[in-house]
Amino acid sequence: MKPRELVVEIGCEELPADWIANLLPALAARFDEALRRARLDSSPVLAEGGARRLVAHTDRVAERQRDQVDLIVGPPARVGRGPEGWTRAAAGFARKHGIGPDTLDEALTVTPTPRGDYVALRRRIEGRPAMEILAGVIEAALRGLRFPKGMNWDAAIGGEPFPFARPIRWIVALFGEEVVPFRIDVEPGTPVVASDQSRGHRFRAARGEPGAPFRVGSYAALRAGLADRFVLLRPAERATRLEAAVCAREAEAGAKRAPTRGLQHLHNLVEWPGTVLGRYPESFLTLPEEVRHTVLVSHQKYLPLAGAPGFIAVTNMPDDPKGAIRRGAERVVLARLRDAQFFWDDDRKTPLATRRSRLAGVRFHEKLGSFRDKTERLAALAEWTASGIGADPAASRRAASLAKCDLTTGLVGEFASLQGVVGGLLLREEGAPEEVWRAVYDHYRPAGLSGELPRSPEGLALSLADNADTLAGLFLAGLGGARTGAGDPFGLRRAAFSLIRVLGNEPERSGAAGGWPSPEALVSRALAGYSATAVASESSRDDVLSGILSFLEGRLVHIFGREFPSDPDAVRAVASEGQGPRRPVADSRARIRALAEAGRTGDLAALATAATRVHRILPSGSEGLPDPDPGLFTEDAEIALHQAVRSMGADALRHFRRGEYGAGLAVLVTLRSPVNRFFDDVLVMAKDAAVRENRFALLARLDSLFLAAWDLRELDPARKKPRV
Amino acid sequence: MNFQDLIFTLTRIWGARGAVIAQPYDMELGAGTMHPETFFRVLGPKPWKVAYVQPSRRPADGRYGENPNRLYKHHQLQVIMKPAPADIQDIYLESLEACGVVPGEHDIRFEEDNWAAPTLGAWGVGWQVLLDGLEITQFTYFQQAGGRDLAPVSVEITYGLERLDMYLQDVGNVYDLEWAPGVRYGDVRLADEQQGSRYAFEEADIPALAAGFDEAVAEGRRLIRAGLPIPGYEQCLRASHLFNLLDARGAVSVSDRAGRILAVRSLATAAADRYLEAP
Repeated sequence: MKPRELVVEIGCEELPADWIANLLPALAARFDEALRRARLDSSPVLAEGGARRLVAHTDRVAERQRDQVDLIVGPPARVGRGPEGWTRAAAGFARKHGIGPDTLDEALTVTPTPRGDYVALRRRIEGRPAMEILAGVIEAALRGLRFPKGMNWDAAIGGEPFPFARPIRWIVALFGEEVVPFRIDVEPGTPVVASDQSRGHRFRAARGEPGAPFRVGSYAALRAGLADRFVLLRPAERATRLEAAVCAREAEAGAKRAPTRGLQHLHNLVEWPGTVLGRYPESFLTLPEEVRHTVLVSHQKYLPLAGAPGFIAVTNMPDDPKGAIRRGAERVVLARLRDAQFFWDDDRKTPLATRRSRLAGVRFHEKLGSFRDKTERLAALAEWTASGIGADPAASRRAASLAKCDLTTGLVGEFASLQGVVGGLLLREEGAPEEVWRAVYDHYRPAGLSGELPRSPEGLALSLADNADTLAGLFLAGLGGARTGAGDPFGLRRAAFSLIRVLGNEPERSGAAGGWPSPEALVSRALAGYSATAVASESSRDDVLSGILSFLEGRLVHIFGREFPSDPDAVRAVASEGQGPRRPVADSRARIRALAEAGRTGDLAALATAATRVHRILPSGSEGLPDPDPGLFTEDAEIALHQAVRSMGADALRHFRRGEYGAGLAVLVTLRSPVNRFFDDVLVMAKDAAVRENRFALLARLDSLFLAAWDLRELDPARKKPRV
Repeated sequence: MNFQDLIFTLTRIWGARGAVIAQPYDMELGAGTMHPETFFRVLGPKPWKVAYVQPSRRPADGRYGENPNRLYKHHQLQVIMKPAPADIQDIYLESLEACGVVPGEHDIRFEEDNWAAPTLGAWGVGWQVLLDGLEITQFTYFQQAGGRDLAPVSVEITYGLERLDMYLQDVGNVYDLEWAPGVRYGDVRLADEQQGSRYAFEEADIPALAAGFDEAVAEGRRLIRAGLPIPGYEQCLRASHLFNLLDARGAVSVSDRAGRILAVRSLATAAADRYLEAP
């Protein structure tokens, strides 16, 4: 029997465009998995589709399931198998399962088990025809999909509720040319039953009646039939077509599209990307570009043209026969721009600084007061931060005192994504110094893990102060626990990632890195800003601080994990156990890099093993021991180790102080052989207490060296790796 | 198509699909969803189809009749189909065609837009329907109302009548719409908009509104306890509108807001619970 093609099209009401990029690979993976579990040999499944359909197909699925051989374990081999072959015990076991004495050799085998060798019966389960089980495969694959938000649409398969992304309205399921008997019940209503009938674009068709079902006999026929009906099945095809269409419009307009964010899913918003070129009156060019582009992008998902009063709108239509689409788009844009112009004109009537008093009415958080309160804390914190990172403290303070004022503007009320930007633009209009307006403009950057950093030192200072204040406040308010689970309702993760990224932006200098404040220093300072508030008096400052630090440590490990993907041990050796947030971020990075560059040499691993061993042998409290007394040494090996620790130790520490972690590490590695010799030759647990204590004292000095710049034990190959 | 013909056309279409043509609710509502013919009827298992126009008040959107697009009070045409028919999108598109939209000449799109009304304990998933980039309809499959999961699922279709008709009549200013032959939208509505905006932003008596809010909440609780979820819910509607007025007046303090929203929401969920208990 020959394998056949399998093609499944799930016809949906419009799926959210930004889900599709993740949904398609998941669909392919779920189908592969379901086929494998069903023991149906198949070539890899490909998934394609867009707004109204998810399609999975593969060239070859076996006609039948693979037969399965089950092993039924019987008596132990020593009982079942003798010098003459199978024993009576084995024959009895076989008989119980319907095997006669003549076929014992075919049916029985000896199989190893954890308890030794056993006699086992091979039983062949014959595979069923694929046609009988494919409906179950489709169901399993679809049920395996996860959506950002599932939907109840009164559907069930086999009596089990079947939520999905959007209602399913048709299903094509073909195994070769046969329709797979798959159905979804809709209660109360008519079931959706698989067929060989697909649908194209709702309103346009080059062949047949627009929107009418059409018959498909294969994947190739589906793809071709859809292309005749203005549906491009493959996301890449749509993206290519869209790009070409946009380029053509750019040429027509004599202007290029402006850079935008958040429009990467346009080709999944439509099944047949078309475009229209729209224009708006030149008089709006006096409205700041940021505002015009936000109007076009955030409300309409249109591509703004750079430096020209126009835009490109992506449509789901091959053309615009009567110009109605272009006129409609232009009309909407005009109304939106007029609104924005009204707000911009109105907002400029009030100097930004006079809005500060209105911030008393804008809540930062229920327990943390208003943005007025936040502004006061920010001014002090930004000034302090600025002096720590080489920004202008006075300008930073000034920027902080104005940073939140735009929350009371009409424009930010309408376009929340313009917060900061509007404040910066208004200040620029008012003639504020560039350090000030730019810092305000940029201070919501970066957006967590993604996005650009502020462009000026004052912007960096303000961003740091804002995020540190937010973290401190939300943890004080007891919302530190709110981060568990999916999502980030209070923006804690975002604040932590932003803070770490900005601190990690410290320029590398010769000599010691880490002139900038550590996360701990910054957050402690931010916490101090809340000292006079009610919420601070209700909680223990130390508990709150340690909560924030352990949260930051997790984010730090995450960020460094992305930066050093092949060195998770090195990241843990620096950033875990509470050490990460205590050091300047750039300093942590330098330490990780030194370990990463030293690589996984045998020397480093052996040194790490020694570090584990030294630490483990020491009783608690050994850190307090005095320097070892050379007079109490009895063995050559301990004398040699002591000398090595004294000279190399001082050398290594000097390198560490200068931030020369690679050089310091190289020095430490030279300690490996005296340490190993020590453990080979010396019995630490000497009978004489003084000698023993003296050996502890030596090892304690060594231990403190091994922990000075890293927790080298994390690199010990024998150590059980905790999950990051 | 003039404004009243648009209303006639849409109600006739949905009436022909079996919807009861109900009347606007005789209280101030912020949206058609708040109408008891939607709020209560989507609960529980009984099928229900209804369509009606609902004048919807958004005091904070008032612009003294000076903005061509924003209104203190606009009109929604609201449809509920429970359970949702399998061809509901097609029926909806036919309704647009009946209004004179030729689909092959336009770009009609269903873009994800999920809806939530925290004060009603309600949310759903669906789309905004865009006609050449203009949002003309909110299309929602209800998932919860009054804090309860819904089965069967109702589909709600809310046409923004002014927006749609401005498109159909190709006018840029809402007050220039033709309402009836020889009668413009402004002739019917402008004075209301001017006075309503002045009332909401300048004249509304804040202490009286606040007292009215508290009174409505207390009365609503009492009525629901007394086994009268519908009159109780009316008090919830009243409280909701008074809240919107207070908000437009800038009189909802930061600490007030959450508490007042919660009070309205608990009335709505209590009314829903009581309604379902009723024999």
